[in-house]
Amino acid sequence: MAARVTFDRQLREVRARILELGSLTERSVAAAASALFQRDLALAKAVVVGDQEINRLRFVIEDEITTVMATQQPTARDLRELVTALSITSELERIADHAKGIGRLVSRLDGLPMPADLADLVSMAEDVRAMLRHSLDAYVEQNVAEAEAVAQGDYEIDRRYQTIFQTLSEFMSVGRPEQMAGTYLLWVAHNLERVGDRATNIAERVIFVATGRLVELNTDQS
Amino acid sequence: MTLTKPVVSERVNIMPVDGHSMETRNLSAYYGSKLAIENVNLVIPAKRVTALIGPSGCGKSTLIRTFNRMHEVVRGARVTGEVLLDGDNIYAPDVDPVKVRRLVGMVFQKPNPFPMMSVYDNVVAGLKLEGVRDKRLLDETAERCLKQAALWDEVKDKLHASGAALSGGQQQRLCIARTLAVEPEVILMDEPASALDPISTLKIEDLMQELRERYTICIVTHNMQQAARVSDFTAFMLAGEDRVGRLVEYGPTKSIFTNPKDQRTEDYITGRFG
Repeated sequence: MAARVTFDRQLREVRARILELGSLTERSVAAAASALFQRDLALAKAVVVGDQEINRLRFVIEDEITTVMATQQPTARDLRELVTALSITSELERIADHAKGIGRLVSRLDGLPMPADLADLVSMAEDVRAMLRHSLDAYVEQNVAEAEAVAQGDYEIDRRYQTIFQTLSEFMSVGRPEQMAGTYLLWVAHNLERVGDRATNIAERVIFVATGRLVELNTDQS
Repeated sequence: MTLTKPVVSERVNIMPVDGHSMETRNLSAYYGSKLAIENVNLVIPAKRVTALIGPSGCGKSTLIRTFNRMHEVVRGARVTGEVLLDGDNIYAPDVDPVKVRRLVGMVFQKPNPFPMMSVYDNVVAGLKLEGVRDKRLLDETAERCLKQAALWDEVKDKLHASGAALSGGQQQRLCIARTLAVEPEVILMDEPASALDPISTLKIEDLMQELRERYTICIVTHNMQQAARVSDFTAFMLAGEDRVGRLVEYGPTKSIFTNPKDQRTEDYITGRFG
């Protein structure tokens, strides 16, 4: 098969950039969770500040993709890959925003009386981070089965979110000292839940590149 | 006007549109003993643009030339199988090839206006050849066809100047006007824009979109982006190592250019062929 040398190099560069963005984003989600559970204000601030670099990289990637599309007229799988690259870039940037949101909540939580047991939230954060990593692995390997597994994981995240919601609601009653922290932690849980949704979106795009089918993976309406 | 009665083939149900469709059945074409295209089964739906694409030597020009019996103009050339126009085989023994070429007009790669004729005479040449002498009918036809070919505004003040004095893009639209004047049912275009500059090319492409409201169009093009821009359906042809052209994949242009089913189509349209 004759290669399109320049075009193939450009496609590889776009993939590499997305992996760079994915790696930064994954680290940001992990750091936000660590900052929360270890009450590390400096780390939380680093997450918030670090989001600027992620936003910048997003524009760099979008610019590269636009240039490749304008100059190479991609079709078929190449076209699907570049369209997908655009939407994955956008999903990653939004995931990083959720991490930044958690980072900001860490400073709001500083000094507030906290609910004693955060185990559910800790494991939810861990699971969401794993989901994100798996969705990026599926993207790198163009692995449809792994992409579908990511969506299965999202059902579990959604269930866990419901549980945490119930638990934290109990702290909301008037007069309880954990009322404020409970509210903020609910926002944290919501941010994590959205990361799970967006990781699922990435998985959907992986399937689109591989098969040309646009599928809604997480169809849980409950 | 049809060869006999208008029948829409049962297999022409890709688009339920009134108008004239074509279809090939087990069509093979030869130059002497050399098989050029083999066993092509293809529907050209009515009032749609169908593009034939494929690398050089894949037989797409040969195929399109079988659609109005131009193929047999080459000495020793012949076909087997059928080409149906509205269900009637244009290769049936009692069919007049001249009549077929009137119903199925053709525009060629290089604009070929009659050099010694004016713009006006170029357009109505076919009618005059048929013996039409009514000046008003000729005038009306010239204006209508030049308007349909999006050329009227540019030539209405020089209708009696030489057709050869027009630009390349204008000449090609003049040839399209000439084709329209004899009221064809199907218009074949063999690389109609490959000798034109980009602006003239886009004009021809826009014109195709206008013409598909009334006519069935089939275009051969080397320019895949052009096929993607102008056509509703795309057929991809490829010659094997035996150098015989075959239809590899045929479907809605959108599917062919976003998610082709055959790896050979994918390799060709993504530019990784061969």
